[in-house]
Amino acid sequence: MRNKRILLNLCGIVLALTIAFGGAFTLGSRMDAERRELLSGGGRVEIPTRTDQTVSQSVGVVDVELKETGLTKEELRQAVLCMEEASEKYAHEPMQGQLLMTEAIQSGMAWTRDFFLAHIDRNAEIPEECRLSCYLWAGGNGEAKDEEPDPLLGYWEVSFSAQDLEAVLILNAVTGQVLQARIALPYVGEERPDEDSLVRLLKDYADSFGMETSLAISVAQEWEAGNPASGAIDPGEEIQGGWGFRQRLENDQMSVCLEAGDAVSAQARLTNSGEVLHFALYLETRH
Amino acid sequence: MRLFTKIFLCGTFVLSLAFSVSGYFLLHFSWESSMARETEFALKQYQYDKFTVQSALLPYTDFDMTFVIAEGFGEPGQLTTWREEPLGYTISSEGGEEGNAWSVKRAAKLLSEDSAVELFGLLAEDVSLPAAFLTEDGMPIYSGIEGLDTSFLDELAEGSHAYRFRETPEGSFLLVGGMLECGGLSLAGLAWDGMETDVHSAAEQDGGCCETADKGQDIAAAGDRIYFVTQWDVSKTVKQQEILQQYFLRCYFAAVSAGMALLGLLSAFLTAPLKRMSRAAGRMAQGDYEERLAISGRDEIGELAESFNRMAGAVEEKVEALSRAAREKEDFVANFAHEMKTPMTSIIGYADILYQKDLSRKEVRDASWYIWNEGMRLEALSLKLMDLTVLGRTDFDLQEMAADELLADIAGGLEPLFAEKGISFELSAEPAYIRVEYDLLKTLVVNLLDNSIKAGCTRLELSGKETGDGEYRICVRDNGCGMEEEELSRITEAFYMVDKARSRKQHGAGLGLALADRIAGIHGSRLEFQSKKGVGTEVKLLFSCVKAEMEDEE
Repeated sequence: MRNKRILLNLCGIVLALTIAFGGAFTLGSRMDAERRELLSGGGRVEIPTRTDQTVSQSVGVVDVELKETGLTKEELRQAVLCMEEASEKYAHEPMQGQLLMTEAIQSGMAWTRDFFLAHIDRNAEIPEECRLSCYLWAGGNGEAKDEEPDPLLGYWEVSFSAQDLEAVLILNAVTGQVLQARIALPYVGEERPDEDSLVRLLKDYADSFGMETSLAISVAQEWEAGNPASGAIDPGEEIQGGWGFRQRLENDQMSVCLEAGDAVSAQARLTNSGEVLHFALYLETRH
Repeated sequence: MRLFTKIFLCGTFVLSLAFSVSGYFLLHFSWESSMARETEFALKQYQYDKFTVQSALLPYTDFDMTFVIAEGFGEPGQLTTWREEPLGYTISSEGGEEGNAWSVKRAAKLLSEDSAVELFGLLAEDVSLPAAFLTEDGMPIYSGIEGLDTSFLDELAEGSHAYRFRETPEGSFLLVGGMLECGGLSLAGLAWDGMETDVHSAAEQDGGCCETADKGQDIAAAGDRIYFVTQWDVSKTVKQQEILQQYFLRCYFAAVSAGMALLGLLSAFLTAPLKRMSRAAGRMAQGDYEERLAISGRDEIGELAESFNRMAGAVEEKVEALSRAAREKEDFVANFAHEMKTPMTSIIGYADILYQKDLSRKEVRDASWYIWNEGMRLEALSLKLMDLTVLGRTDFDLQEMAADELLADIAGGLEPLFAEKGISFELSAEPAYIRVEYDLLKTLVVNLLDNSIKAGCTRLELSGKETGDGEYRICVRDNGCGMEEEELSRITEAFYMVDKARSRKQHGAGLGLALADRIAGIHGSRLEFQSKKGVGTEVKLLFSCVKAEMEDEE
């Protein structure tokens, strides 16, 4: 009787150990099976795209005008605000109402040639040979969103670079309006653009959005070597001296800024990239 | 199975189940969320790379511009193997000791039939991930992905991206694929109609893994659709998940082992008091009724121990009572035998004398008197024993009676005896109603008065008085011989006699006060004795007064 009881207790303890270690084994087996299943699976993602594919096939002539129907003041403010607050960029296909890539490139190039270069009295041509990169993104702050993004809050980022021009433009994905432009031009042996043309550039840029603005800041100065750079070139980089121009026009909600300079960084000198004019033309919201 | 083992087994089961289930959900969630995150990253990167490729493909549509597809620093002389004709490359190179800085510029209109594979090879180099370009029927134009299975692209609709995980000896990857367009332009503009591809890609020249279409394969059959596939490396995440799983299993073993050890200790701790109780119960079963448990704590075990101790106390008391009752019975039987034996001995002795000897008339009378006398004792003894037996009943019908009338009635029957004995008797009874059985109460009072007479009193008082708190006290007081204090506790025992010689002489059997005490108990009262040797004795008993009820009824 006593032996039977001891045997029963031993069986109980062995059963407990079996449950404990069997649980781990079962868990491990189950997770391995799930891992195999997961790593052999897949899926499909429907991409919301622009269904209107009837864009002209003969877009060889890059002379697209800016759309007449631009953003309203509130839409513009929202678009700029969203662009400013975007901590992450999500590339996506053009949605209904948004420009296609070619349209965005054409808009960007047309703006660069017909608006920007024309204002600073440079030869108004985009180089024939250039390196192109273009993508459409919507802003996010790292949190997943279930709802479809607003097409108005999408941005085409068009970059083209050639020997005579480097430009990074951010266009509103619906209207093609350039919300931000960072352009670098070499100017070996050429004159700097005069301040009047820069003032006119900024004024016309603001007018292109229908903004009624007043002058807030206007600075033009020569920088001494060793000062930290700002604006158009990398912040914090030590500069070798040069000229700078900064002007800001604003109204109660928005401001439009132009920063220009020929500051050349030590890095640029080392790589012998020569004198470069940097332009930063952008919209800002006033918080 | 012992309780210890049961607790241990159940605890281990619950612990294992809890850890397993929670671990499963944790790891499952971690796996799914990390893979979902990787998929999201891969899809984002794919979209970005797709834009890059689309941008670069623009010149090969009818977009009238020239774009640089690749730029970089190559090994000295590397580009010399590249042909300017008929691929149409515009190659500029600057010689240097460290290598040639080169750029490859491709004119759209110069694309020839051999250049498609190289074109896509160059495009793939611009993409941040290993990439492949496939015709609509899955034929690779260029593939930088080894062992690519394109079945996941089957029947892929326009505007959809497909993805699939794959495991290879090199690691785990996520393939993302979709249809490639060129900024809304048809790729039909690509000048590859009818071309045959037997050209090795640039990536292959660099020693990379890649696959190209077989010689003679007609890419034109692909129409204007091209699939673009990238491969996102998820090996690191998969490895992290495996490490997480292993880490969890190690934690599981550690936690369950520690939990089992704690369970063992807990089980031992919980069952220890029960074991002590079991041992104590065993000792009680062997007759040790003084066994008690040390009570610690106010939990259920403590309460159980307290209850056990109470039970042990009750058992001990009951056993003691039973023992006392048994002893009393033995004493009763012994006393009874003794009380029987004494008169029987006298009766037998005198009867023998009468039978054996010739006696004178006086001697015969004396012997006969002794026989009569002892016979009277035996009769009295038997009557009293019969009364005691009768008093074992409990279904007496108590009735409300006037106490003063009751006492007067009892006293009236005894007054000739008092007169004969020369006893001064005094009765003082206040009127009140008490609930009694008349015959029994009369027996009780007569026994008390008889005891006083036997104690040799010359003055006897019987009184009845309301105490004021709803009770009626009957008191018998005499000036007899009295008793010692220590004898008072035993005088209600059957056959107990303070002065046996005197009692037997008076035909006493030691049962009178036992009867009186039993009758008092039947009335819910008890006898209270006060006595002093040589002074006298006072006996009191209390009854509930029902005077108020009677008045109400009236």
